[in-house]
Amino acid sequence: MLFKFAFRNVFRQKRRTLLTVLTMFGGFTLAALSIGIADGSYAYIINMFTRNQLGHIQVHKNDYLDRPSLYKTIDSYETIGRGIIGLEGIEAWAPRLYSAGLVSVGEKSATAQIIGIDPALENKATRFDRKIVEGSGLSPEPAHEVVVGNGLAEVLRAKTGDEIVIVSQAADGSIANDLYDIVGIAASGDDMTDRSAFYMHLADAQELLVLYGRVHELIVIIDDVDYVFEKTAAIKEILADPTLTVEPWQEFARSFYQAMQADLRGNWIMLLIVNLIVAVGVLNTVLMTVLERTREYGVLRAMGTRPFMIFRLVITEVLIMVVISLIIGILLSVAVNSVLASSGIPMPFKFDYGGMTFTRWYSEVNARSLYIPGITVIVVALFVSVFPASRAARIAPASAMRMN
Amino acid sequence: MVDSSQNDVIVAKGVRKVYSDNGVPVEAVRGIDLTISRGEFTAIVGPSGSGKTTFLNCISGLDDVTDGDVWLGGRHLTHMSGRELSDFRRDNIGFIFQAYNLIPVLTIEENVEYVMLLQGVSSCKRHRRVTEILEELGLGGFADRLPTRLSGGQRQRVAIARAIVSQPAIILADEPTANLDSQTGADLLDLMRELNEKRGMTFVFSTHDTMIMKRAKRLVVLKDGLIASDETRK
Amino acid sequence: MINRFYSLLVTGLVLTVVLTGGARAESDSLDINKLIKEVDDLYRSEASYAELEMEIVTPHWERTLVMKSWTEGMDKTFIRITSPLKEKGVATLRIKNEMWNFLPKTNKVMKIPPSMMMSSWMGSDFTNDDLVKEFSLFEDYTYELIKLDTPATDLHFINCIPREDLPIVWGNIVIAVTKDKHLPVWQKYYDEKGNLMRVMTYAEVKKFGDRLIPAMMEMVPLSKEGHRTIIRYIDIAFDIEVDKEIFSLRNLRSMK
Ligand SMILES: Nc1ncnc2c1ncn2[C@@H]1O[C@H](COP(=O)(O)OP(=O)(O)OP(=O)(O)O)[C@@H](O)[C@H]1O
Ligand SMILES: [Mg+2]
Repeated sequence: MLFKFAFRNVFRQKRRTLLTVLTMFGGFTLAALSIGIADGSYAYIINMFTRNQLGHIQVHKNDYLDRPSLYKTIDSYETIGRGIIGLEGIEAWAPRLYSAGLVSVGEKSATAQIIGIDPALENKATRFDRKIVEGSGLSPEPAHEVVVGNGLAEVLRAKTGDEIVIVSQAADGSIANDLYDIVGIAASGDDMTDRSAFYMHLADAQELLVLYGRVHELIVIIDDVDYVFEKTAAIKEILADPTLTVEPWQEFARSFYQAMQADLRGNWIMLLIVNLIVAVGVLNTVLMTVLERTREYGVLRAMGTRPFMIFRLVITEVLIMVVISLIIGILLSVAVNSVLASSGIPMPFKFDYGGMTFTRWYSEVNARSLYIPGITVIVVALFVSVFPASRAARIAPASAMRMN
Repeated sequence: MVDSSQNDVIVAKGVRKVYSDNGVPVEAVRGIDLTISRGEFTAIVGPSGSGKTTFLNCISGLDDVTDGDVWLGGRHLTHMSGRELSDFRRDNIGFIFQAYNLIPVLTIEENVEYVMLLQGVSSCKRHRRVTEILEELGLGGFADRLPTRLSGGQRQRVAIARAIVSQPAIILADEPTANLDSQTGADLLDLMRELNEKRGMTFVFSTHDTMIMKRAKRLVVLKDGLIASDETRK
Repeated sequence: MINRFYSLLVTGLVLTVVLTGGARAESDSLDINKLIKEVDDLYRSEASYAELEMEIVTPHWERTLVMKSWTEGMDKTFIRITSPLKEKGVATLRIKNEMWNFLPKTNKVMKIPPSMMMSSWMGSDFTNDDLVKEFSLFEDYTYELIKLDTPATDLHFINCIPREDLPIVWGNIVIAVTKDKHLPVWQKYYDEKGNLMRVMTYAEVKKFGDRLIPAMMEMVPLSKEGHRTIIRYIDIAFDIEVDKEIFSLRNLRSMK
């Protein structure tokens, strides 16, 4: 009865109800979409970073990332890799060797980063083969081949088929220098790397740098990113080597992670603004309603309705509007989010994040994008209704008698 | 229970009500002693502003008194809490207002059953009572209509049905006929008179309507917040 | 993003401290200007040819390179490594501020880009820049005799401060010179804040032709723990005739 009463009251002032519902629905949908897009875009960026480049988990010699050195190597990395891939929930791993050197093609030379990779493992882990934009990838066996980042290729005016000279210092102090064939040009999406790095077969790199059987980094791809901390712990446990550091992406890409967290905090401000609009809209509606129905509430009170029931009546009316708003809000935002999740929307401008350029937003359908705005809309609407509702409950029954 | 016998349903002693009109005290009721017995059909009359509505509010617990005491059905209103008053009105008083004051979003049936609903009467019993009473008041076909689709007279009939449906001891009516044409008003008055006689319900009106004055068994005349005359006829 | 180490040593090849010069007769009464000029000219000459050894020690490895070097005036230097086998034939040519390396393994001549001038030369503790920029104490510094609180009584100590507006990275240099033959014993290089950055020590005084010079120089950079570089002259000839063809890119490529 109370509900029926409230429900009919809701539809008494159709325009006002529509406006209120639109306000809440709009606020909800805006927040749901912005959370969905933020989460989706970050998931996409994280995927670009981890899945395409860095891996979800990395293993290094202690302190390598803070103060890199040719000599901070992981030995017997093949045994370690086999151990890691044997764990549950691990999709792939890949070893990497890093150094820097002087490279020259024809008359052009530049300093560059040497990345030694195992083509088969790298293809599996970070789909290295898909980053080749020209020519081919590295052969599975070492063949004195090099794949150059597209930015670096531009600097060197290099194309596939050119010879490249690499000069560096080997781990034994000797001059590392040799001649290689450029077989391909790669674009990883990470501008910094593409401008400065080239890739060679791990065995070739080990020979050049006199680091046989050693690497600087192992990257690990896991099946489900949500378990990254658990898997990191599991890898730590099987390595049982205090000289090695095992880190999830949140740590080895700390600055990126923190920037992302800060951006997500920006979303809370957005949510706050949305809530403010909802609050003002709902408060206005409820106050007007209560004012308008003073005599009606007075009649109800005169007939013996307890004040708390009047309070509940007003709150129920608000809740009905909230529920209607949320139902259409949820339907619309799930629909829009799922469309944006699969196709994305082109950004009006290019967007650089951590050296990668993004041109599309992606969204994500997740519980967070619904319950966070949902709960806040409910809480805000109820919160602002408490005052007018208790005012309605306190209306003097004598007002029923008086015409205005 | 002071000296109110079981038969005195309304006892007012020295009732005073002072309003504050922007800080200026307005003494609307200036000390009224009045006892109304069960089954009376009383009209309170007097010029506009003489304090009729104010007095009705005071004796029904809709408004608190500034001074004096009110007993209703032997209960001392002045000492009741807001919630007790609320429950007391629900169970003991039926109201009929000049402006009908039906709830516009509820159907006739829902308006009428509202008080029983508050009392916790079962739905089938409610339905039976409502049907009965609507039938009795000649509103048989209107149960599912909304109040806006009725004429003024019909609405006031519904208001009467709403006031009497839970068979309260007292019915208070503030100018119930003021918004109606004289024929309709007369019919309604006959109806109330009939209810009064058949069921022994106590009616108290405030009115300007000479028709009511003529049919009232007791006429209390107020002037400037005081009783100017009080006569019972037979 | 993946900021791997660019700072890792990159090898440039140029010979360096091709310190040329000649021995000097000692004079009795101390003339500071003359003394500085003597130190300046110790290894200098119109043209020279030398065979030398460079021993590089780091916490990770030790190695010795043997090389031949030719110089002409202050502007031209040519160096060819003769040992070990892996680097045999590697050569560096410097003409004024430009440097080229030749790598026999790849049969390539590479010009050292300006960005690499501060990089290590051949993995040693000298930078390419050290080899290109030759400053004269006499012309580019102001100097004065100072007293140091040491028991050594046979040494003069001189504090040298670079003249303003010169691209010299040091705040000052303190030199110790023997009182008898005016030969350097050590040089200490300080940065602008007065921190000791490098210590160069001279030893093994030998007579080459008619010049008396320290044949051994040890350089210890204080910023890199466990690193030092030692240069030792096996043979050196001053003021000789040097074929102009030596200082050419054609010669750089030849494996002689
Ligand atoms: N809420 C109030 N505040 C201030 N003064 C009031 C208030 N209600 C009534 N009054 C004053 O009290 C006096 C009595 O008013 P009341 O409404 O009881 O008169 P009434 O006899 O019912 O008049 P009418 O016949 O016009 O309905 C009037 O002077 C009125 O102005
Ligand atoms: Mg009145």
